[in-house]
Amino acid sequence: MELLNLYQNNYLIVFVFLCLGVILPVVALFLGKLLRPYKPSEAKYTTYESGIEPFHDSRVQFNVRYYIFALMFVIFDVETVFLYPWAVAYDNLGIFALIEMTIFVFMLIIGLVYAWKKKVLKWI
Amino acid sequence: MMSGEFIAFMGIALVAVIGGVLLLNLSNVMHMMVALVFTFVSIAGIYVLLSAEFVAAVQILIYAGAITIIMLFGIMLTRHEDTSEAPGSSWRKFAVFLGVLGFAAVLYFGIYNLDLPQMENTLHEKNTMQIGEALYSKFVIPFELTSVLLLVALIGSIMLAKKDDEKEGDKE
Amino acid sequence: MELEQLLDFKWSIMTPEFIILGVATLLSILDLFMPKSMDRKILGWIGVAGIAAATVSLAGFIDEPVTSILFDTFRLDSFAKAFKFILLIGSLFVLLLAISFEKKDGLAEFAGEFYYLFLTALLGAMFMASSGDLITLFIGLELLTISSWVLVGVTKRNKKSNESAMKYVINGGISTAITLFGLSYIYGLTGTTNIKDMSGTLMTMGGSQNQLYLLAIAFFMTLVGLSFKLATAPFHMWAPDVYEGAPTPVTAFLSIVSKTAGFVIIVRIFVSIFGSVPATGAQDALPMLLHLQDYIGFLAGATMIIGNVIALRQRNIKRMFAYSSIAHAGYILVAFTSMSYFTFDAIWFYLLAYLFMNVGAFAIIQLVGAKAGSDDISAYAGLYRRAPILAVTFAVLILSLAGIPGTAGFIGKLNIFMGAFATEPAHYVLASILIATSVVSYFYYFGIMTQMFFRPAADDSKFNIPVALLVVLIGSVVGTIALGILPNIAFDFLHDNFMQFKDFLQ
Repeated sequence: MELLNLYQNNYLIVFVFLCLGVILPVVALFLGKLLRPYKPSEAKYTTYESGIEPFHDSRVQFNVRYYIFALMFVIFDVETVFLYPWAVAYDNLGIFALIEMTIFVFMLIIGLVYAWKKKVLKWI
Repeated sequence: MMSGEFIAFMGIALVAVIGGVLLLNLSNVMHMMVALVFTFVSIAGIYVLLSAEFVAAVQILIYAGAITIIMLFGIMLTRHEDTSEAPGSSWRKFAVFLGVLGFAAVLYFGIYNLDLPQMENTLHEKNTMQIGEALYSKFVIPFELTSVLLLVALIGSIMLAKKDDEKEGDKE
Repeated sequence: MELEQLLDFKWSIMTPEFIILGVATLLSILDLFMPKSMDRKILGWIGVAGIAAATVSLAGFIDEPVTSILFDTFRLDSFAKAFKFILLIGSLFVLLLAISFEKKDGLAEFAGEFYYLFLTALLGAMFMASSGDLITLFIGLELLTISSWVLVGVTKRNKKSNESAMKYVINGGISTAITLFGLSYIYGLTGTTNIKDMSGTLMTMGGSQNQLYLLAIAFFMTLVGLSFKLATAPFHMWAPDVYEGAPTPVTAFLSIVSKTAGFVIIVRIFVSIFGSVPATGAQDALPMLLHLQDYIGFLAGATMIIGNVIALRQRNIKRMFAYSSIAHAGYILVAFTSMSYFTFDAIWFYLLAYLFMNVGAFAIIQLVGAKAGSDDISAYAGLYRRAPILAVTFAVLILSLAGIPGTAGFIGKLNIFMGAFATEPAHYVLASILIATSVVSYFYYFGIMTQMFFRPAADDSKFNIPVALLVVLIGSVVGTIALGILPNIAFDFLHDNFMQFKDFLQ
């Protein structure tokens, strides 16, 4: 029970920093609003685009390659998650854990080679 | 019973629920994503309260990090000129609302006054190590199956998302 | 855990799975390093050989007593063995269909993947069949589901395929979420994911009213989630669109292997968990499964009626077969509802019969569809003039699907029908719906026959049947007729080797 309380109190620090993180930008922006002069005019509200009138939507459609990169990032991220507890518990697990992880990583290397061969890692 | 844990849970749960409701009701997709991040982070908070430290870290890493980014890319990839469709009839909305309410009532009736025996647990002590020991000794088979699952997901996503750069003509 | 201790487990019982996994890995590597110009059909044949090898090695374990590895995360009992045979044979036929499927609409680029994704899906289904732990069960389910999502959308330039993949992903995601929600309640109440421990805990728990109420919620959530997988009414809405848009071998896969896997998981979870909980606090009360069986019965009845009635209005043959497959899921649910002494036998036999008749039918749909360029039912007009043997084959399979005596479908239905009366109280209503909807189904099945035999043909071109397809057709017709005339082959096999599935809960 002692340890549980200690564990929970440790997270109070996290909570404090979470609050700080939210408060800091809010306060900064709010103070800026208080301090800066406020004199709006029609011309100031127009969109500035290299000195010419903007002529289409500011949001451009991204290349689909970005999406594939993001997908691969997620999958390899999940793989990393499996590596953490393996590394932490490795000393108690012995050689068998190494074999398991080799198989696991091998499967994902096939995935990486697949992505390579299908030329999705190439930018141009 | 107003322990600190209770207050923390209430606060986190409130943020999670508000995030979910905002996600459904906001009209700007970017604002929706921010609301979703709030939900993800508060769910991580609930994991922390339940002594599942590692799962909380994973929740932040995968959901608040990776999944959010992939959804943002998904948004950036699509066009947004479409105007939203006319909302369904109010009668239908009401029916859906009644359904949701009914389901909530059914579940609330189940968990209200639920008396489960309290069990001593040591989850908060070396949480990651405990997970590692269970995962790599007891659950070896599902773990290895997961690697196949991830491989299939990777190959499948590349297959479906890859742009067709060959034209129909220059086959064969 | 020490290495010796781990090596003590009898890993050899996983040989069929290892073979499938190895072949899938091999195919993926071969596909990557093969020259682009080479025909990928050879990969398909390697896959077929792999499945055949896995079937043989599974047959080698047929006398093996119940063996489990690592706290039941993998177990080989007679239930697992019996259903794995269906999964393996079904995938073998489906892969043969895939080999002869014309690679168009962007499929040519992914011809290799097309083959090994079937194998990974099969691997997931096999793990579902032989798992005594919810975690393995769930990961197997996910592997099967994700592989089939990709397979459905693999013809990227076909708009219908895109639509069906999207619908399948959304529906599949929702159903997985609901299933998992239900399972999480059971886990919360028992504190374990091991199915055997779960039923043990629940049996001795005695259960306060509150806990039983939560268990009933879990029962319904799991049932609803898995009903999506089986495509039973009212959760069948995705099936027609997905079946229509997917490439024909994938449609066959969904209706045979995926459906079998759905029944496997539903039987595994419901019989072992809810079959052992007393429905009320008293120890001698009925198990919850029997107590709540009227709801499953309702689903079964609704499924049979909706599937057969809506099928009457379909002009697209793949949509029609989607509704027919919904209806067949309803028939099997009748067997599951009645929970008689023969339930396992009836479900197993029906799934086997359905495998033969349906895979043959899809082989012909694929052949005619590729020739005519559409799946409209008018493409079958005058098939008898153009290819008499093909038309007769299709007629035999359709008669079996309709359940005419002398075919496997009839014996399957008869078993289910008898099972419905074998319990106390008997399920008269379900049995009569079964008969009535079967009669309704004659209309649309015979509609196809009328097209084939009595309508003039639009063109007289002949069919040339690829070898792989020919194997499927011969296999399915032989299977359908053999099981129809000598059903005892299957039943003797079942009784001699699987001892009435007595070891299901051991």
